[in-house]
Amino acid sequence: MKFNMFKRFAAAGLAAVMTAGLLAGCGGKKAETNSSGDEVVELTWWQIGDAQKDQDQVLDKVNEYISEKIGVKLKVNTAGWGDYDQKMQVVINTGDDWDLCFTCSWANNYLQNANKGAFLQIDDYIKDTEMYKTIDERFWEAAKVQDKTYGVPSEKEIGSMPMWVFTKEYVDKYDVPVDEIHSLEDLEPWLELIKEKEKDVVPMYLTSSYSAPIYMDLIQNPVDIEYGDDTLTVKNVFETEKMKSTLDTMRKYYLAGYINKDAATASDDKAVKRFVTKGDGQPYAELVWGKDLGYEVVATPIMDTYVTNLSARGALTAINAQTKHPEKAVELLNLINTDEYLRNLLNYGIEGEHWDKVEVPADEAAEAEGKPYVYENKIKLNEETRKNYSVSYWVQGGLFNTYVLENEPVDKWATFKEFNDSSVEAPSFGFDFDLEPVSTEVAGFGNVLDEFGKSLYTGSVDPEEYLPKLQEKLEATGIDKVIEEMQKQIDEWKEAK
Amino acid sequence: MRVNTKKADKPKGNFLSRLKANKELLILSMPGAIWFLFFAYLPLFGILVAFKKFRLSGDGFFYNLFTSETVWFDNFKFLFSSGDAWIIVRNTVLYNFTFIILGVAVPVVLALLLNEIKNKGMMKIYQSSMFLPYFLSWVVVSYCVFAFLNPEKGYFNAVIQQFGGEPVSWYTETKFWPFIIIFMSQWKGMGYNTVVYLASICGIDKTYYEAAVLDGATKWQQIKYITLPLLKPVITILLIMSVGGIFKADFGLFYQLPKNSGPLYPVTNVLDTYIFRALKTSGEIGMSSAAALFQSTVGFVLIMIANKIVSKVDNENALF
Amino acid sequence: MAGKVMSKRKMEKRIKKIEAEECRYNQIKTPTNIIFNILLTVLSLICVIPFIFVIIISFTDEASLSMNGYRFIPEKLSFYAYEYIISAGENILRSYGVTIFITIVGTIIGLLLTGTYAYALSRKTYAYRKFFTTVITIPMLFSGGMIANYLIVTKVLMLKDSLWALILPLCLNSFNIIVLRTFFKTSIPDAVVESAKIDGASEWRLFFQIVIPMALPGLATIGLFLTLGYWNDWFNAMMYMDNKDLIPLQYLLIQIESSIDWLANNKATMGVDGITAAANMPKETIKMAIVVISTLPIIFAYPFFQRYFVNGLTVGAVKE
Repeated sequence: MKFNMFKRFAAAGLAAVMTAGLLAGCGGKKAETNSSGDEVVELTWWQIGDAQKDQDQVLDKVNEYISEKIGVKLKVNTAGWGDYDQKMQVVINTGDDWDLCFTCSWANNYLQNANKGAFLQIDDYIKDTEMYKTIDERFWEAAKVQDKTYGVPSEKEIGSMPMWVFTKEYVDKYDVPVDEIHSLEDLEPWLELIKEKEKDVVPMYLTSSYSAPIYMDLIQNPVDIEYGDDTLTVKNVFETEKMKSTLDTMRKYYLAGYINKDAATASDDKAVKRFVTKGDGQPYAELVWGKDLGYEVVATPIMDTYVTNLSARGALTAINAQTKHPEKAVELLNLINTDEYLRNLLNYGIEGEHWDKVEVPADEAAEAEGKPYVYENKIKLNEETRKNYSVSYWVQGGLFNTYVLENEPVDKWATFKEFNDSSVEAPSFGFDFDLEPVSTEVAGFGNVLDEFGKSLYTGSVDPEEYLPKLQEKLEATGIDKVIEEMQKQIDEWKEAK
Repeated sequence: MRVNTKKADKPKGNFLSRLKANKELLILSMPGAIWFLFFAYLPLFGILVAFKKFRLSGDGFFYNLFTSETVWFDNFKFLFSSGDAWIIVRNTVLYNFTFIILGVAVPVVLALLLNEIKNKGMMKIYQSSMFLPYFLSWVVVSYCVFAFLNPEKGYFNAVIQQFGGEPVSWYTETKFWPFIIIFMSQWKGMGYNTVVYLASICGIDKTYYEAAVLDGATKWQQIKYITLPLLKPVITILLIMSVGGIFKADFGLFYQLPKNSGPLYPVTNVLDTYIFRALKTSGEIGMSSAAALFQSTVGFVLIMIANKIVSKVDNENALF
Repeated sequence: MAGKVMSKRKMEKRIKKIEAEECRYNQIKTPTNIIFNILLTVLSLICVIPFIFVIIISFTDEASLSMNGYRFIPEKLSFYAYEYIISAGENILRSYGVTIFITIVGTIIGLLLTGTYAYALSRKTYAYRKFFTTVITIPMLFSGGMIANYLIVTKVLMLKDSLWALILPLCLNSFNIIVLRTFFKTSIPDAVVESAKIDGASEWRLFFQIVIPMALPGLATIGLFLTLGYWNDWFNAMMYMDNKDLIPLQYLLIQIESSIDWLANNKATMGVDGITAAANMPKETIKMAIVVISTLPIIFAYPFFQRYFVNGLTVGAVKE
């Protein structure tokens, strides 16, 4: 009886929902036209980040420009950093009305959504666009999932560069040859020295987000492929010799007192005086870190910078598979990525209101002569109004067609470009692991890694004791099956390549 | 089931007259029933997602729901795939069992204490003070607790060292955490939970006490023979309802408070934290629906059992 | 019936009499009273001190906070956290307004819906009692999940970006109904209802004129729960409110907090970009300031409900 009741309720409910859904789909909008008589369509764009006070003002300007140029009006919806994933899950899965959205490897996951069918395959639309030619082909390569493109990449740094970040004060004081230090082991004598000489300085300051240097492409952590391994052998990261010795070294440092005791749970405490810490860098990262910490730092790369799917999918914009205006959406993205005026308007706000153009010093301009992505002017942000409109560069488009700030070198983007060109492709670059056959096993990894990862990486626990425990749990979760599956997939991929 | 027997008892023609006899009460329950139809029953189709490998192939959620492959119970597998499934279930059930017992004992005792003290002004102050922790989120509480337990500059270790003891590494020692977690959960909830019992005591007919006083009953006797028996219906109903939550855990309490510290997992990993960690990378909505459905189903079965037991013993106070 | 309801003056007299009697026979002994008071004072302090701690930290300079850890007497005062919130929030006053509006309207609607539904369930003569109890028991455990709810609220009820989307989903829940039903059952003697029925009172009148006045403590409890629920809600705003002008206070603040948290926790994945995005955000002090800004007003609302929980101030009005 009760069950019947429930069924009847459910049936009635479904019917009601479906009719309502149909009705909603039929609502027609009045067409708006621009001065040349073309229809103007409105596109809804979901972006990550906090809502900006002056967003409407900036969008008015943007719309004025793009409705004339390509017959598009833009509506931007934002969801905060912490909410974006959840919000987009709802927006995408419920089939809400949206046209464009921000996606990447660390929020609103690009690969999953592409696999799921949420994004429009855009290969045919982009072939002849200008942006397809100007954006580094490796970004396009990374944007491919099973040979199909689902998003327009924002051109930025292509690889992440793990670095040791030293406090300049102590480097100068003890004459530390920073440029010669790369591996974890290279640090040892200096950590010892600092421990001895500077009583209130933490020689190696680590926080809970720290992960030991890993020389692998983290495809489905902890099941990964080593950098430079052209045979493409899938390995459990915790079974590699390199990781084992790294963990032993970390433990040694921890016991020697080089590492802060609360490393596994600490969140970055800027007041702690430290000699060295780890950071993931890019060109000019020292400036950002230095500004953040309030004192100068110097950094040295731990290893070469590798290009992986993970790193090259740092920011993309995807189009809804169900959008009614795919051509217009691509046209808009193309314009943003190639039009200097529009790009800077979106990124910095309105000229004269949020920023002003300033001259590039003659000698600097001369020096940058002939380099790519160098503009005739720099810009100065208006101290008063800048906080009313500040968006992250890569949310809306590439970095390289924005102006640089007054205090930045005019060839900043040229340096980025050089950095990208010098980054090495990991052998597994371009390979996507389809985790569907092993999704149950993979779900178990998260817990095991969370439980042991941080304490092992920071040396807080003894690897002799905990590494076997970790292995045991990974095996119980079915890591062998995942390794086998990935090996199978990557062999097929290699074959096809 | 029940309605069936009724129908058998009475001739069918009675349906209309029964409707008529209950017309006024039916009208009173209608607004609520309509609310439940829209906000609780219509969305129940979402449960279907638990049995689907949800993929987007066309326009509209329903199209996608029906075209997605039905995988039956595959989405539930991850709940049992880890070697820790037993520890996680044990933690969840044991903590919740403690919370259910304390969730009645602590507020009832507090309500009685508050009710008995002579100065009503003070009573208001006590009651308001005990409500304050309710307003602090677990994140904020975790910061305050960290100020005490921080291994390097926390107050506790400072005191321990003052007396010549060895500093304790609080966030790696499992043995303290069951107590910390239970204490903090009671601390945060006691003010809120006391309200129901205080209000119940207020609602008790004063004539009972007058009669008891005339008969020369002591205060303790009044509590034992009047207050507690009259609180029994509320206590019973809250107990039955809390049993339904035995597989659900307060995420913040087990995740934020211990600062997600790995070495503490053997005593802090519960179903909700496990599910969160398992799904944060894959984001498969089928799996998260499956997890919720699993928790609900266990809770539902337990509520039914609890209700059955209560209705056997004391039909008046059962849920239905 | 009319003869049985006492006139106001008579009632007051009666209360005086009861209180006088209580004074003579019915109070705990002074030593017990002192012990109870000490106990409650200690408990209250455990609850109040962290709150004061939070207030102090919210006014502490972020740099001196991380230098010295949490201290009761801050080395350096700062209003930066508050300045940051006020400048970051679109319009904090408007958000206060939205929150106050939905809290008041929601609580009133919620009380009406909960009250009528619970009242019908509490009536023993109601033939559909079991059916309607079952109707509310199932959703207590099973829910369709976020996505299904979103579809119903936005596509069926068309409430996207409407204040109703913040009010309606929270105004009723099974827990409140069942608690209130129990209150009605225990605090309203059957005799009262029956005699009123014999006098020809409609259920409607019975509910508004007799039941509501008699069950004030219970209604106040539910009212308090509803008020707190509305005041603290941010989830519905996150789901249904894309209109920046109608964002309630809690969501405004939660957004600031979760952005800061997220950026801090994802340093490793976001690298330098995260640092740039998080630049100038105060971290710990802001969390505390958020607590202060969002809870102080609601704490002042508490006494309004509290007077119904203090024994001796309300007396069952109808007797004999």
